Amino acid sequence: MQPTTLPAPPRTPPAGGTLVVQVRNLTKQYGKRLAVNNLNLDVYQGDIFGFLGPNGAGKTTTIRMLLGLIAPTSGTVQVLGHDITTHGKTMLPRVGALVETPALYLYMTGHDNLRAVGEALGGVSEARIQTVLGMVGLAARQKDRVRTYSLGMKQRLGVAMALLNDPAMLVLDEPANGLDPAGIVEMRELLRALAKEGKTIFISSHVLGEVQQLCTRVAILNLGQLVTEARPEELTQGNGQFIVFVEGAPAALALIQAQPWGRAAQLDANGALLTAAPDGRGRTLNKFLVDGGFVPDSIIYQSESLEQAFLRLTQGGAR
Amino acid sequence: MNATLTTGASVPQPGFIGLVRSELFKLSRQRPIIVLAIVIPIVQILYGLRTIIFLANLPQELVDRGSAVTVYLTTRVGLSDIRGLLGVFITIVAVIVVGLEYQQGTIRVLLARGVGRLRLLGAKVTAIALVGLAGFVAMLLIMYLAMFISFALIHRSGDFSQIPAYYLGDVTLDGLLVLLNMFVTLMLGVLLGVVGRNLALGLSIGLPFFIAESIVSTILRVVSLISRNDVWTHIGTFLPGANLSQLASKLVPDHGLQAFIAGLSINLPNDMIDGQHALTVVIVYGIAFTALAGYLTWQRDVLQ
Repeated sequence: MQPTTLPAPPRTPPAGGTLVVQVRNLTKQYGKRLAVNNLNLDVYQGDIFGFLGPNGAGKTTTIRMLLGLIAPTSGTVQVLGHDITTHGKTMLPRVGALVETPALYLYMTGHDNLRAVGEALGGVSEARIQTVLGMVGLAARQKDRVRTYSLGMKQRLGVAMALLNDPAMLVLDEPANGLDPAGIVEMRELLRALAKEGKTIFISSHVLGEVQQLCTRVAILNLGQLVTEARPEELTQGNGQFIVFVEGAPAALALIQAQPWGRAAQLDANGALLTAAPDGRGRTLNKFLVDGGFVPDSIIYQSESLEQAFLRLTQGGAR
Repeated sequence: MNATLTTGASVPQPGFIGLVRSELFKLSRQRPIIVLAIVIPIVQILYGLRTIIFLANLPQELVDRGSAVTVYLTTRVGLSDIRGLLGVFITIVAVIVVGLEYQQGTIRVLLARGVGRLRLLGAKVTAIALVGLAGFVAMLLIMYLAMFISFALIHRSGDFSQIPAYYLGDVTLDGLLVLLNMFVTLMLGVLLGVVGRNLALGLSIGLPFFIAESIVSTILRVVSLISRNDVWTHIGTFLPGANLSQLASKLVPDHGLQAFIAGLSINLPNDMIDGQHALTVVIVYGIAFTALAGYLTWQRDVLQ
């Protein structure tokens, strides 16, 4: 099977945004299987970019190509303005990465892990090691062997390793994996603080609630293809419908359906009224119902969660 | 309009020396390596005790008359011991350094940060070689210490003024051949680590490799006898272990060594292998192991 060219999904780049990652027509083929199919992505400076998709969608393959760990079958990846294939050695030291499960030297202490990687990266000061250990909350356990760490602690150490030489961009694969609720909140705050410093953060995650809270932009991948790339609020904004709880709902429905904007209105299984508003605004709908003799108990704008949008866009996470 | 961020000047770049230091640091924290660094000298000390006992049992008269020659011969035997021990040591170290890195996935931490694959492999080989050299020096010291104890302390005599003129040349050549042996064994271990990307696989092939090879050699000889065709035996002369074991005996002058160790040596002379052949085959294997390890490291996707 040959890669096919798909129309690029609509994008909404931030005005004047500085491009940090540019992926063009990226394809990876293993035998007859297309792991990544003609992928196009743009990530801008300061973005917290969520990279979502069901298992086997091609997320990790894409991340590995982004980091030069595997070679694309075709297409290009530019990081910080340079092609990763030809300029990986100069550009990748500016990228901190945590790919899949954190890869750590289990026989060494947390501190020595950072020291070993720091030496290899051209030298990192003891002060910097202590700073990143403090950032991820591992300062107190730095002298313990990593073998004795919990999954969450290993995850934190992986993030510390990624932060070691103060990279311009972070690529994190499931950073919240194994963290307890407090740890997830701390990680979220840490990533937000890093983004505020101007760092670009590229996150692959299955924790959609977390992504919705954290990410400024989101791309959804399914079966190796980009389904959409948008801001989370664009994906969750719904279709302009309101849920209205009101006494005499069938009569209110008849009134609404007589209006040009309300012909598609209906009652749901719970007896709530599902309808559009005269000008798309809840207050106008409220006034219309009150003027018609129906005082709503509540009017709720019907939005989707990111999870609902994800399932809709990936056909339930089809693989 | 969107701009593209181009940057990259202020972050330190991964350098070769830093990579070697990192590898040495990791080695210094590896328990198996630390255990080996203790066990191997202990075995070497046992070899030294054997030397002491052997020399202590020599008649005093013989020691007084020919201690200088005995020093030469004992040195050659000691270098042969070191060759074997160093080979085992370096194979284990090489497989651990390369295979474990892939197995635990830590290789991607460095590669994803722009460390060149061949540069990283080169740093690993350099670090292993440095550890091997340190081991070689330590073993030499133990060997000479054992000889000193035998001659100077037990026999309280020995005329070393008559050290044979060929001593330095022969021992230097033999020592270099030990290092060549170490390099080929090192690259075999590295290759196994790169191919298998797994510690257990590398060790399970690497450690019994030369034993398996000698079994193959024997089988080839049997096939040769049955088929009455020497070609099978000739194939055996191109195996790496067969040539590594013959290097010293074929390239360093004998000067009475075979007579000295008669009945003790397990490296029986192989008349089908001459020095030139052994050296050529060993160098070809060294280059082939290096090239293959480099090519696979360079070309294969890192999926660990």
